[in-house]
Amino acid sequence: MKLLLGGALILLQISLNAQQLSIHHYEYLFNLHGQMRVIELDFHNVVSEDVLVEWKLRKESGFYKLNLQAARNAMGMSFQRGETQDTVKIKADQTLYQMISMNAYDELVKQKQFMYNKTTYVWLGEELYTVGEQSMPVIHVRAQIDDTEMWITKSPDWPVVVRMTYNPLGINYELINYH
Amino acid sequence: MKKVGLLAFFIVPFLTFAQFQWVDPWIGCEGEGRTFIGPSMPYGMVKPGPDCGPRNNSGWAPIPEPITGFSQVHVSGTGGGPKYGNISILPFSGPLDQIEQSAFRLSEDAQLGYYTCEFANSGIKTEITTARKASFYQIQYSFPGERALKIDAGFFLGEQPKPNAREAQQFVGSEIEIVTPYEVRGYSRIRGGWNNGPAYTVYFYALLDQPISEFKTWKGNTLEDVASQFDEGKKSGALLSFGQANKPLKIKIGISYLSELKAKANLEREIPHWDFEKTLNQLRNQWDDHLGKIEISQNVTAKQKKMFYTALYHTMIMPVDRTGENPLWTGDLPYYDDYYCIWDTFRSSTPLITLMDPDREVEIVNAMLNIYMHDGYLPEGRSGNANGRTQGGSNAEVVLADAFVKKLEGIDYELALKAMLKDAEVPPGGNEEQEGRGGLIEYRSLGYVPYGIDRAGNRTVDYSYNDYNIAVVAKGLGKNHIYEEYIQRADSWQNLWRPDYSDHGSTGFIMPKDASGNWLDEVPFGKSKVQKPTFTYTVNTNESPWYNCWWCVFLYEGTSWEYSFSIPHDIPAVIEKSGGEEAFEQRLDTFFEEEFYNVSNEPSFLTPTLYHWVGKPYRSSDRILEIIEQNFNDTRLGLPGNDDSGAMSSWLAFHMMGLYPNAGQPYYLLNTPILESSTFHLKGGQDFIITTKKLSDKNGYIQSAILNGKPLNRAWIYHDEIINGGELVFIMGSKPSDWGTTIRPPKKLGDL
Repeated sequence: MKLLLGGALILLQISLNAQQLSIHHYEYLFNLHGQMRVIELDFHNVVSEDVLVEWKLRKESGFYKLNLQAARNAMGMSFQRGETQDTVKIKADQTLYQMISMNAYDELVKQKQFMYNKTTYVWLGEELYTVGEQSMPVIHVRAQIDDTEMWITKSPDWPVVVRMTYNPLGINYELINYH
Repeated sequence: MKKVGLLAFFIVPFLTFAQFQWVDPWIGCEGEGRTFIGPSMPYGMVKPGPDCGPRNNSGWAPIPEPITGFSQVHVSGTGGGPKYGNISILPFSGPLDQIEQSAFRLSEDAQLGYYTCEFANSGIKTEITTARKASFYQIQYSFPGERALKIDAGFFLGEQPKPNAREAQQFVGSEIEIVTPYEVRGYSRIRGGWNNGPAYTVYFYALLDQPISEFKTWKGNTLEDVASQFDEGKKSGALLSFGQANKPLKIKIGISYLSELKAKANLEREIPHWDFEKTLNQLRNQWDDHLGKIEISQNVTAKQKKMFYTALYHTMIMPVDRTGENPLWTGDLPYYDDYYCIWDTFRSSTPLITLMDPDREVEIVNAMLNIYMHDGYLPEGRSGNANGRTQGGSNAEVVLADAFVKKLEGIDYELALKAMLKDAEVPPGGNEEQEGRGGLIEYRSLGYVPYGIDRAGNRTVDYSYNDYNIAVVAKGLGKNHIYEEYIQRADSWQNLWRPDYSDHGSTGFIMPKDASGNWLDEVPFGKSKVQKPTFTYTVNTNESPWYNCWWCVFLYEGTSWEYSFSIPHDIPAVIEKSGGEEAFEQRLDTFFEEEFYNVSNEPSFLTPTLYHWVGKPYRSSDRILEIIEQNFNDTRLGLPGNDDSGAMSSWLAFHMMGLYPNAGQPYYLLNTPILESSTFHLKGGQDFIITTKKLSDKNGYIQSAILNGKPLNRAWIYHDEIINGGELVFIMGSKPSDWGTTIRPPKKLGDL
């Protein structure tokens, strides 16, 4: 799927058949218990159904390994911190903290709510999320318990969370750049 | 030339000119050092200097960052949210039509007591020096051109758009009044900052040497043709014009924490003239008196002289002497503020001040006791006239015990013991981060602070040492029942020692334990009512900022690897628990070789010397010299971590002389000095000289030592042996020797 945003063709998706990512680089501004940190995520191409995600935080870096089956079917996010110069493998039933699974997205669209991390998130509405000079349509949801709010791109093949607030784990963020 | 000991005169030639010339304010100002580059008197209340926006802790940032003003109060070497940056002035050229006047620098220079810069576009040259409570500016404008000056009573460092952001300073109020064509006064009232303190007020009185010809003032963002702006919760300031003249403008600014009239009085007392050079010379003479208390051999490199004297300088600019400026209570006792933070400074800054200037340390300690008397608790992280922050233990106990064991006179030690016991026995209640001991009830009932209470690990470790400090003072005062209790409590760290935990071949670590006594490998995080995620706690885990907030972690600014060595009162027990001397030595090697050692922070300050406890002081020296060589230098990046009010600098100064204190205990560990000789000019008039024979790059190992003509076979020396005066000679050689290998450092009090 391709997402048309403000006249520019922006791809927030993964082409699963081709096993090739069209967006490679995300920059998030994290608010970690009041500490502001820019974290860069670079998605490398798929090898044997695994996506290698390189993270960079100041002078430190490392990898997450995310299985594509999880991108399809996961039931929750992993909030595991990256280990410097090491690879952290995300569990098979989890996505990384910056996306939900395609199944969860389908459930959201159909049911106007979805279950993730044992939490029910309810559809609040559609909005535009702006990064730089470009805007993208997103779905705004809120957790019934804990009150976490997320803004999820309208991209069923690769639903990215561009903003998270009121996360009870203290890990909140917003997307500030991508290419 | 400073006074030179007679004995020293025959041994080595000493400095023949002022020590202040070796101070380089640029050392450590960039990177993590964050040292203040502007002028300051020793322990001076006023520290005028450039600010490049609100973000930088010391105000200054390198070119090409624009200067937004020169404010009158700063701190040096701090981390976390900035503090102060009050009463900003900025010269500019042009009409009085806009508040924003930031300027780029073409060049700048800083020397001890002096800062100058030239603005790129206007060509304005600003020079700054200072007295204790009043600053002095000399401004040369380009001619022809309108000479103008902005006085901003609303500026402060650390401003953030988010209201009540943690550690951010917050605006409360300001006021400004053009009293006469030569006088401007007002105040700045700010709260928050690193210690999250309540509002403090900086009053000012500015005196100009030329009349104001035109002015505007502002409140909020509106410029007005009125001479005063009263406080209604908005930022205020003034734009002043002095017309055109080919003549420098001079401005003196008195500062006070009491009132504008007191600010005026401070100015009139300290700078009753318009002679900029005179004020600068007075400052330098003051510094020469202070720095001259230690003279070093001329036979060292210029780099070493700069590093050493700048380190002494950094040690003596904080805390600040605000005697007569206490807005909270009256009295004749000394008043010091900006203990920023004792967690940082107790380890090496306090012992260095005690050694160089015991009368000053007595003042500082008495000020701490006075704070206890009026505020209820001893300070830990105090700034802006408020306790407000603790980082680990109630480390004022170490400072008081250090004074006690070093027999500083003029301190009420009975009162000191009461103050220490208040920390140790009375929970602070409410905000446990502010003062006293957070988690105290659990610490006293369980013998440790359980995981889930902020900083449980290092609080337990630090409280154990603080309890040892109490035991020391109690025993010295003959209060044996207190001694008996607290010497037991001093072992509390052992309750968090997990004996079966191994990493990299070393066994036993300070690890998290819950209130039920379970060791925690998988630690829950977050406050979700639904999710129950965990993370794996290891001996190198830093939970912050991801899993926990910076101040909520198990071990503050350190890891289990680091804190498992941080038991300064009972290293023999750590050795035993580590599996004996051989295993402990291997543990130390692993710590350094695997880079678990963090040179940039205080918890590991003592660790490089721990080879002394296994009878290998030469290995301590190897580590120390390697650390200095790799991490310290005479450049702007010359400090590897926050200087923290001189903590990092004092660590360096001690090691360059071949000494290192174990704060709170009456001895210093001896190591290979970098300086060929150092002479302490002591309070009583006598000298203590540390000198070397055959010291060179090749001869880096102590072969033997002679104290006052007699062999000294131990690699440590008592404080008394120094302050009684005399001479310690190190005979150096190219290979490690058996010197100092048999007599270990003193055991803890209860074992003596």
